[in-house]
Amino acid sequence: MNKPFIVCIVDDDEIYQFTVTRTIEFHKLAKKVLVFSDGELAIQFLIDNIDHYEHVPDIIFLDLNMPIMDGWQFIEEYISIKPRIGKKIIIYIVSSSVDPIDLDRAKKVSEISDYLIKPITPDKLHDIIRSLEAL
Amino acid sequence: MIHRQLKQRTTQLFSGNGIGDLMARRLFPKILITLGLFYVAGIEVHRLNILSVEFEIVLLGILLLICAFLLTLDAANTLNKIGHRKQETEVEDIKRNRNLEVLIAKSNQELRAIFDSALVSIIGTDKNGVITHFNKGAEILLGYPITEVKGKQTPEIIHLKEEVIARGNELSEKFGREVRGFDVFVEFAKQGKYESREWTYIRKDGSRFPVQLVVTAILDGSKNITGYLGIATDVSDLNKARLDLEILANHLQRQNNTLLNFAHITSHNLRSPVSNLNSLLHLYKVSNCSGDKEVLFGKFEIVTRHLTTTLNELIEALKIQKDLSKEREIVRFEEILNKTKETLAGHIIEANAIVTFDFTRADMIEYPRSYLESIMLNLFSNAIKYKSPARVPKIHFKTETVSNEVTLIVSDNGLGINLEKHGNKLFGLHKTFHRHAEARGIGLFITKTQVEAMGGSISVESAVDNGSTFKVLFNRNN
Repeated sequence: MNKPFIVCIVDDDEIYQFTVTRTIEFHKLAKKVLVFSDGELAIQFLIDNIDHYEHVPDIIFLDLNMPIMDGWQFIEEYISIKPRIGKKIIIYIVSSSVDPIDLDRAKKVSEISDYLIKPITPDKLHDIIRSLEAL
Repeated sequence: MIHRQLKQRTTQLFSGNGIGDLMARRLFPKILITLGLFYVAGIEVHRLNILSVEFEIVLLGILLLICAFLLTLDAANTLNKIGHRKQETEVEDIKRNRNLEVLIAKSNQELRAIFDSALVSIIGTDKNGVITHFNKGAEILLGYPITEVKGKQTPEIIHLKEEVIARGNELSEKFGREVRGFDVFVEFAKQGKYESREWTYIRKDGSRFPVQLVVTAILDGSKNITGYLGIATDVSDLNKARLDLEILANHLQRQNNTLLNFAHITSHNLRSPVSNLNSLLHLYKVSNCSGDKEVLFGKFEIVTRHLTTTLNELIEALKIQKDLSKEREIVRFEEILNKTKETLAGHIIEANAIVTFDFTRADMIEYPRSYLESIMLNLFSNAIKYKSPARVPKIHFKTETVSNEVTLIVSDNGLGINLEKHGNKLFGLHKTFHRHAEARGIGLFITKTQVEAMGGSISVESAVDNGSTFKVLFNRNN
């Protein structure tokens, strides 16, 4: 049986979108996977669904380097609309950047739960979903 | 009056230090005793009546003569002694003076040697600025013989007028009163401070050289200023070395930036396809449906192709960065623009773009032809690619020379870029800012790499929905 969560992937890398979606579906870790290839599309979705919390994702896997609106800009926008969203969203940064500047910056933002370096393994995905269930 | 004089003389006689006083004190008792003895002896002889009166008088006269002779002898002796001692001291004094003279001459020579050092210009002036001293060094460095300046000129003739005026303005503002002419050099010295700063000296033949000049005041015993001393060293070599160092530092800074950029690229652009390959591999392993495996294999192909492209782009960039000695030739901007227009002809017609140019300010440049072609092609194709759908695209090319540097300016009326959001990423590899099928994020990266490899720089001004202006400064520091 599928877990009752909506997982959101914000990343411009199609192969990454494919592998993560595949893994989640394979292990039945979510009831729905939303995919956006840049921050602007994702924030637009959140704004459009601000009154329909049943569509709002429980967890967001956010990439940093994206065109149009990158991960950091997404976080800024998210913080400004966060009070209007009737649901707690857990955000994970998932990036191939191992730059300590990015890692430090992520630590300073309280909206970010953790910083994961690509690739994320199926085990890691399991752990994350399990910690979500425990809440 | 006479009484007091007599009293003063008498006191001096008993306590004075003059040779006369000393002699008087010495002779007076001897005369007194001798006369006393003669007096007693005379009376006694006369009373005993041994000799006739005439004989007595003659005898007394003879004895007095002998006594006078003896006393004179004694006085002469004493005077001789005093005289001798005085001579000795005089000789000593002369000796000491001669030693002093030697010492003074020696230190004078040393001072002279320092003063005449050929590498340092030392110029002394009176308090009004008229030159009083002008050493060998000044003669050699400045080309003026001392006879032409001493007592005739002020140091203003060897200074750059504009510099003196500019400094005068600075000082006037600082002290809130007029500081002009010679005062510009000595204002600090006047206040008991000294100042060391760089000036430009002008030789007699009009040529110039930079100096480091220290000005101090010359004071007399009661601390009044009697003149000024300006000591200047030629710092041309130093400045040249400094300039060389600056160029080197700039070059190193650029290389360092390139390296950092490269590290960033490897961390992003190579890590992500590799991690994708890993994820795909994992899915491939756990999959047990052959149709599924085929789909996954197709994905492998995509990643492999992507990885190959990225590697090729990196190699291209590395080649440019390595190629600092790329051959330059004279290239005409208009010729390159025409070639670029031919290459992009299809796109220009399709976009209905209006292309104008003005290369009157600088119509050519010494630059690697292939780089200029690539730079203009990239900026040109970007201007077309990111046109605004609301306007007829207008693209204008022009050149300018800013302090001997040729600058190429390409402006368009396209979509523009939000520089506040994307400014720092604009020239990065695989950074795109528009949801555009053709955006690959390689053009500006290569352009920047080429411009910087040739020692130039590229900058951009832009406003969203207003257009962009790219500026390429070509030969910086070359």
